[in-house]
Amino acid sequence: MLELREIRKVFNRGTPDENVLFDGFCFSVAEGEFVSIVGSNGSGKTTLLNLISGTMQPDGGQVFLRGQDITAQKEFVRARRIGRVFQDPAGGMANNMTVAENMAIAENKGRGYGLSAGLNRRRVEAYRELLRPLGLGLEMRMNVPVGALSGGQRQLLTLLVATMTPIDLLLLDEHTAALDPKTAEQTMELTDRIVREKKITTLMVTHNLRFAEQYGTRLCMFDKGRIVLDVAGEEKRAKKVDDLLGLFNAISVECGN
Amino acid sequence: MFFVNQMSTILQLGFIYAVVGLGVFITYKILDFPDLSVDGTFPLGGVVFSVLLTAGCPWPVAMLVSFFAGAAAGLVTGLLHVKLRINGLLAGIITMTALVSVNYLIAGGPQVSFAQEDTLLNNGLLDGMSRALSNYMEVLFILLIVVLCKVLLDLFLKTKAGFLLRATGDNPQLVTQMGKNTDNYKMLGLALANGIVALAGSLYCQYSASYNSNMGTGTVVIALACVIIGCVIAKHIRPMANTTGVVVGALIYYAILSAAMLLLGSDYTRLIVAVLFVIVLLFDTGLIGRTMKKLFRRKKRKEGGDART
Repeated sequence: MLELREIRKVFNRGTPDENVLFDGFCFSVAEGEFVSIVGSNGSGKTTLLNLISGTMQPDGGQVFLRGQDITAQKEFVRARRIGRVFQDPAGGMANNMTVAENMAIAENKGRGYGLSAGLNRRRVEAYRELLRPLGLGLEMRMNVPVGALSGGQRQLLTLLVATMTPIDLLLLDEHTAALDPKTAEQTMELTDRIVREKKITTLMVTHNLRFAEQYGTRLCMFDKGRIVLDVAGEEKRAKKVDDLLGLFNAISVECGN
Repeated sequence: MFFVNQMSTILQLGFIYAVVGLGVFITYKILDFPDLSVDGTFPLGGVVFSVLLTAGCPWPVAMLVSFFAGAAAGLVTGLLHVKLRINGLLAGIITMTALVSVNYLIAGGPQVSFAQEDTLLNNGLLDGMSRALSNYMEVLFILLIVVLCKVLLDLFLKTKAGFLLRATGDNPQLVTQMGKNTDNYKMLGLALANGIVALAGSLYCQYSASYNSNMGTGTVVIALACVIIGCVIAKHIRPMANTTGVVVGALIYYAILSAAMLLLGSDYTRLIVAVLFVIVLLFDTGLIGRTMKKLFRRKKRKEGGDART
């Protein structure tokens, strides 16, 4: 359903620091897959997500979503079908607006934003019911500005909100990296539950090899703009964290790290 | 009697600048955009109103047109900023500079006066009233406009479109994620803000029964001071909406400004405006609050030490 064809991406073009990250890079994801992507810094994981979401434009090649060429589409147009959660918990919400207001904004994605009231009592009750299963007590704090919540609470809320409306593709950009181990665990469990329940095709970039091994239906390891490991199904289940770490170290040694 | 007259002037100008403040509140607080075009759109509203009025147009229509003239100028700032990618401060300065000539051309000179025409602040209702009473009636009329602007703005900010406007200033990435172009919301906010400022400009001209080309100088600084004072007040008095705070802030600011002008004379007006703004900014950063606390604490400690010895 997602396909990147012959992608070329160059950084600092025309300067002595020119760096060709992707050259003739091809990558495709099937409907309903949950892909975990690991790799060292600078290996192109986040750039891949940026190219898919439209934050960055490729220097060559095309991006297809459900068979449609979206290469020329602006980021905000693509966002109508793609949800994204960032590493920074402050990145996904309007922090001076309340929990309820943020949820109201998210709920109207794709429906337009006219001059009707943004919130009413009935909607707030509905949002409460959505938040209750999280067990964070957020349902009691509907009128608190999101900025006053902890990083973990915000990230869980962002995740919930990003998947509130139907989307074709979910991009998770190291969304557990800024959280403490316990909250990260909780966030991953919720991620897994939402992705399973809503059957959303998902790409998750992570530095946590255990999460990559434990969750998802497919695992890719990136190195310098190439895919060095791509396993799915049985083959993925057979991989243990130690195998991944071994391969990861081998790559890093090649790099001279 | 002197006090009664002075008080009505403070209330009149305070409420007029409260309207300006409501406009600037949109750009400065909601969009987080330092919009300097206000110095040009305030007199733009005034000149459009004055010229239309002297041409025989009824005052409500003239006020409405001045609102749209201001909105158009705000849209120009917005286009310069989002389409041509010009820095926000510079985009405002460009519009403001261009408007100096535009205003002059519309007025056909530096001044337009219309003492005889019917306006919101000079109509049949006020005939036969004593000077003092009619002054306070004028205050009431201006207050009506203030309340109208405040209520409409509050309502708009609670709509879905209003939510997205607020999110644009808060976290543009969120608006992008919702599949909306932040550019459009920035332009909407700038147009709305400058429309309101121009409306205030038309009120100012009705207050002085004339248009004067230098009426805009310093508007940004005055309005920003009102907004900052207002938001600090609203922050400490919880149930108060920010917009109400802006209105209160404008009154407080104008009272202080008038007192300072009485003491020093009107030659010092702009200097007072500038110094007051610095003081307001220092309050906003908390510098004054912290210094005061430190001074008081030191004094207390000293007293405590004295008691022990």
